Amino acid sequence: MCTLCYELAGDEHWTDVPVASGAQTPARHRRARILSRVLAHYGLAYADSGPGGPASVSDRKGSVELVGNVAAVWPAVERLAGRHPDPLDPGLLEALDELSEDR
Amino acid sequence: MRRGVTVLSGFLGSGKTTFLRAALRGRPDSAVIVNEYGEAGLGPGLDHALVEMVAEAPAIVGGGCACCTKRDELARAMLHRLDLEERARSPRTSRLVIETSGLADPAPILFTIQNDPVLRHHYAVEEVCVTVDAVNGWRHLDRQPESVKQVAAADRLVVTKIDLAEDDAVDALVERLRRLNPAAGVDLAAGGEVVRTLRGPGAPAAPARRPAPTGDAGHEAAHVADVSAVSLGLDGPVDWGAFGVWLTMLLHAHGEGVLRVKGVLEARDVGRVAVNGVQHVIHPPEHLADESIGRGLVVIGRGIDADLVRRSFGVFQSLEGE
Repeated sequence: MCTLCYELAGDEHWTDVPVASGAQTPARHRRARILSRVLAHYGLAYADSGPGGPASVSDRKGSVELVGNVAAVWPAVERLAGRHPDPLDPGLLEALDELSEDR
Repeated sequence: MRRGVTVLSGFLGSGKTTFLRAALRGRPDSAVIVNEYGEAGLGPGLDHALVEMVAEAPAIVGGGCACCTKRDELARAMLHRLDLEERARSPRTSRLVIETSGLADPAPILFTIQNDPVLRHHYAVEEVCVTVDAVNGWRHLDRQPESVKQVAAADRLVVTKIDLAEDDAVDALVERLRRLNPAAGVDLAAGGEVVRTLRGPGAPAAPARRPAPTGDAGHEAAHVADVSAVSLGLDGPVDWGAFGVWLTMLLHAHGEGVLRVKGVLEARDVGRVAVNGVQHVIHPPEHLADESIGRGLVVIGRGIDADLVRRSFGVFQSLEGE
């Protein structure tokens, strides 16, 4: 159970495979950065409060949805942004390409 | 130790029951659940009777497909089977074969087993085995979308009735199946018995529990009607976080259009991992100790642009950065 929101922990998601000892936190941060870059395209933000805590997707008007795993991010994006997130959308790929080049 | 589950699928009349009967001979440790279509209220059907000749009391889920209307019944039949064994009223088995109806889509069945709070602790899907009729299989693939879904979901394809078809027709069908699902192994069978196992570039030797995907480093997309199989050769290690973000997003956006995802990835900080998914259902990834299994990822999709899949995969991988 999450100690902040009392939400019952869901089953382990397939994306949460065990990583090498000492690499858990960096891996989680890296994933959060990736999600933040993708969600920025939809005008949304992703925040991860760390192991055992909730992650959230929020818009600029203050609406927030808690998400239990990565797969739950996309329905939240759809509801908050009113757009259909699609990794094959050429517009999204162009925007992400530019981001990678700028780094 | 969880019981291994083989899901046996294949279009109507493709020889599932004949193949099952042959496969069960000499395997007393196997339990069987048969899903028959349209048998409600009519008592056990012919398939049931045939299977009963080689296996003790197969459970029947009738009156619809186990993949949709009868999913709860399938779960109940499995729980009942488990209960019988736990109470020692039936011999303990180590394997369960679920023969689906000819119209069933295997994905929801896998979902049921993987997500049921009790079943998932007692059963693990080992293999989706799909029979394809050497005589009528080509026509089924042309006309029946269910047949294409079944082929895409397969870990092992069994081309049946090869003794009834011309060699050229069998070769052409095998070629078509390999283009549709390069990740599956292909067996040829006559009279239900496997007479030859084919190994080709698209069907490398498989690890014990989870067949490997293609190790093909080529970037080839094969189109069969509007179904494409995209092979991504993965030379270097991938970022697991980026992969998870990409695949969950792809599955959300394209839903049932993604018929199959299968691969072996070398992921940084994670190691070598087998990924296996049928439509929305992704099995828990499995760590592989065997370094000799080739890396690669196959995505089989309907109405999905192969070039965009490749580009998108690359763009998401390049998002990883400090």
